[in-house]
Amino acid sequence: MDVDPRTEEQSRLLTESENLAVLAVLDEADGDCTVRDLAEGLLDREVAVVETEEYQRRLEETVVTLHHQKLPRLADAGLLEYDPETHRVAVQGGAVQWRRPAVPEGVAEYLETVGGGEDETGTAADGEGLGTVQGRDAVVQYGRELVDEADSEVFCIYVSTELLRDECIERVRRAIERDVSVHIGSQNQTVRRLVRERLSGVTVWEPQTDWLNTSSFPRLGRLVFTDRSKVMLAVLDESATDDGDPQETAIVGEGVTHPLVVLVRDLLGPRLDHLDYQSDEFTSQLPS
Amino acid sequence: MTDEITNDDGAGLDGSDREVELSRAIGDRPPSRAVVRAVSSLKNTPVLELEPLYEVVDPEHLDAVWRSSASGGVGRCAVSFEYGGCVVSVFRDEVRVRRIGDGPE
Repeated sequence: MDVDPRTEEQSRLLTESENLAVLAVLDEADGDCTVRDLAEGLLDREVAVVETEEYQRRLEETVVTLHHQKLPRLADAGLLEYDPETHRVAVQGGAVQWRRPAVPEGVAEYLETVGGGEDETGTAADGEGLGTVQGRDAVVQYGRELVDEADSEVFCIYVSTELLRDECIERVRRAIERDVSVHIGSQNQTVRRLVRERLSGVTVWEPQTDWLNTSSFPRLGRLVFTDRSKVMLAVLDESATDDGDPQETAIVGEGVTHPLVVLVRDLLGPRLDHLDYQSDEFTSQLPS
Repeated sequence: MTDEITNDDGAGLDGSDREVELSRAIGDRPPSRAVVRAVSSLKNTPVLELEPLYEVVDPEHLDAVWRSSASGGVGRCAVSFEYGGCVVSVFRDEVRVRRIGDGPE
């Protein structure tokens, strides 16, 4: 599969959380701001409280790095526009493409077809019908059903090996036999290794920390997203236990226009196309 | 900020009280930052008014080359390029910048 080198550069840049932060701050500024605004926005995201003098120093350093290094680089890759003379930063082409890349021809129709069979009555359209699933067993069961029903594509994210049980592996294997394309992501290296060892034909990826990482409870335990139209997002509350296992609750949604589905598709957006570049082998070859 | 700015005595001044050359210790910061500040000092131009260093050399690459030579014991590494109307030379411990020609800033 030939990849446009520009897209390759884009996905490489998007693996760096600093760059994602720049794009996020720019987005918050409605896609148009100055270098200084951007630097302030970036510093605001840092939790540490510093004295004014230190803040000013950091601000200045950030501005310099943005102007001389980060912004020209991002602009070269087509992720934003930067005018070094006016110091204005703007979103590329006026659209927030880093989150919702231009949908290639054919894929838009595919998404319609895949979502077309779903029940898109009032529940999906008006944003209600956000189902919840309580308790670990029910969550596991729901996830399995999603995988069993998948026609073309399954995305999973697992936080830990305990969540990835034998039955899950079996179900995924059966899905692969049905020619479903499967992608499993985990920040946990052991999970990734286990998946690779026990399943062939699965794309394994390492989700980036920017939206998954939370040090507070509850945290994401598993995500199952099938056919780009059905999603289950389960959170773990490790402070409460269900017979020794952390309590799990999931929110679910079905339908291409269902807000939860749209959100997850948005979050996975650039990664849906560039998963190969997130694999361990690739990232280990990148210069540090 | 503890920079050492040393100017070449006599030989460095071009007679109009404008410095032609200066050196700046790299210290703790990445060399790309030292370059930008040195050029800014020499030309008496704010750092933000200089064209992005990236247009001439990717600062990340410059820093990486410098880092790998500094720790790798390869011996002296010097990187030279033109930037902002100056010849910039990056050595192991310092950056040297010199105006090109005698023209206006």
